[in-house]
Amino acid sequence: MIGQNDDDLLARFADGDRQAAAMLMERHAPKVFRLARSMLGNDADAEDVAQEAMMRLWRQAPNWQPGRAKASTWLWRVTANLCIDRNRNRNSAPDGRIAEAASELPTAEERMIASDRAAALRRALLGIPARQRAAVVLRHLEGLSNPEVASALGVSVEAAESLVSRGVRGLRRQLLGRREELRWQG
Amino acid sequence: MARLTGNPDEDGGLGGLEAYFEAERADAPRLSAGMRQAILRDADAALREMAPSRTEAREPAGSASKQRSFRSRLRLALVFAGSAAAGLGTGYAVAGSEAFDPGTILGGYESAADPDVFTGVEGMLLGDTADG
Repeated sequence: MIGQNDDDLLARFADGDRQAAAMLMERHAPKVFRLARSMLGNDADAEDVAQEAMMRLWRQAPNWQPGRAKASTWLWRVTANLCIDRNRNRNSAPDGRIAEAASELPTAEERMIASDRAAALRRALLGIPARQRAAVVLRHLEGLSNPEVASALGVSVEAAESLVSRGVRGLRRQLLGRREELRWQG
Repeated sequence: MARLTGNPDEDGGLGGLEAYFEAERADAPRLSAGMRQAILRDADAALREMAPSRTEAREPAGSASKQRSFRSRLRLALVFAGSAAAGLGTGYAVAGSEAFDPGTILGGYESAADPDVFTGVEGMLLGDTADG
């Protein structure tokens, strides 16, 4: 059952198997939530989006065509679009509810530095355009390849590379202004 | 693990940005138990919404409930047809004052004992009369 692929699980769910839903949720919802959190900058909105994205997956299950798309890619795309829509509606302004980092690095000082860096990154992410943000998060936080990012965002590989590259430049520009605060060691 | 300086202007690859990505990954948020429950509740709701179509898809043609479903649709069609006929044939649509009983047009009515058993025209069309 562990190795069961998403297509099988979606078919089982469409056939009324609740256990399949639990497995799909454990496999995908945390990643969906992480993407939404990075894109929206706070847990509450990210939870709303994650719930909506998973709901769309449940509703899609009866019409799911095995082998046509990966469920993970489909969910990335739905989530990214939901976040982009939400950002558009609220005009993309960081709302000060940046989630605090809670790292598990060994020393207190390192914990503090990591926490500051994580918070700085989340803030900086909110300062770049939403599609660049989605591309950077998928590429560098979720570890997708450029073709996978392209597929998730519905763009060409070249366009995905460009989004990632411009996003990284945007992040760097913002973080460069916070040298003291972020305790660079170079 | 190499020490990450956190200087985003470093040369190579992501420059110092990797320190930030690593910090954010280490802080990977977890879905709360409440959130998991909410997602599963949605799944249950979706399953309930899908239940009728799933039942229909599973049933072989000619099964009892499929026949009932067909009968319901046919009954509705006959009632509409009867309404139209009454409207055209008797001036009902113009007068509109008398209660219309499609049973009088169709010569059929539902059995009081079993609403799924029909007599008269409708019952004959369905091959399902009170007489068996």
